[in-house]
Amino acid sequence: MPPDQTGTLGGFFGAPATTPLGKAPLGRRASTVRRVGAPFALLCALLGVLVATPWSSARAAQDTEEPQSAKTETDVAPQAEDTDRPHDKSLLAPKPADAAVAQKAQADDAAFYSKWQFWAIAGGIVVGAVAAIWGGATLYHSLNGGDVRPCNKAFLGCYGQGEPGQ
Amino acid sequence: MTRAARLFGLATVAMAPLLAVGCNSYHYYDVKIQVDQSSLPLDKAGYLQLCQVKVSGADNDLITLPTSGGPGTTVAACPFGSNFPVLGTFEYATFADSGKLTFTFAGYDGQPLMDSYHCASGSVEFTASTTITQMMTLMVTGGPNDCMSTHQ
Repeated sequence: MPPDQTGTLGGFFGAPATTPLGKAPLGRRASTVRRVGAPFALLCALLGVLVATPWSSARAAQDTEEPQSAKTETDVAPQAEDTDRPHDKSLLAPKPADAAVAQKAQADDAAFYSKWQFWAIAGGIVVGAVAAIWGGATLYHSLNGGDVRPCNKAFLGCYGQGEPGQ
Repeated sequence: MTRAARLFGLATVAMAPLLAVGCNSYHYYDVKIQVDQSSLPLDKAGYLQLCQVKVSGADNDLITLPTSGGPGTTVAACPFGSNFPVLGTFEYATFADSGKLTFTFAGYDGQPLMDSYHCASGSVEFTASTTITQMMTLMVTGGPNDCMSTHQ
């Protein structure tokens, strides 16, 4: 496309090409990108070479450090192989606290149904349910009038609500 | 909503069926059945074979008086025996506590029950109230037909 009279790239049907805001002509902006883009690409390439080169100072130093455990392996023995026994035998004797801790641990490991708390709560729930059912039935019966009074033996009979045969 | 208010709401919902039932209390109506000897003398009343009492108004029922003592009793009722002129007393239990409660007696001198066998009648009316026990006398008179032995 031939350049227009302003020295920039022409727009459609010869109209001057501008940015959407209509400030800088697109041709001038393209040349600015070209001027900045070349040095930027060169800088990126240089940084890439520096990082990729094995002997480059930009690379992390070689890890020549040996594991610490290898160095201290001979200095510290595992506790199971510790032969440094205390001379005071009473220190090795089991203490009451040890028994309590062991008993506590054993109690914690026991099944839930072997604990008295479980049966206390379960029993409470069962008793409560039975009491609620019985109480509800009694309350319902009372609200419905309860029991009819006994029939007088001297009467011909008793009839109506709550009486036998009704 | 606070926890207490929520618990109260739950309790109300749980009690709703019981509250919906409402409170009932028994009321007892003791009816003494006595024969008016002037209109139904013993020589006529002796033909009665079956006696019924119809309950109407605040409650509805039909009672057939026992021929050899009612439930739980050994008192003879109808036909008459030594219980003339007082047939006896029966008790009727109901939850009704308002309105009118009418007991209508009908005596028959034969079976099956037919209007032509109806020869003794009477009625009494109670005013249902919160009173636990009320007692009245039901007077039985002859009619609408004559009691006779041909129906037996």
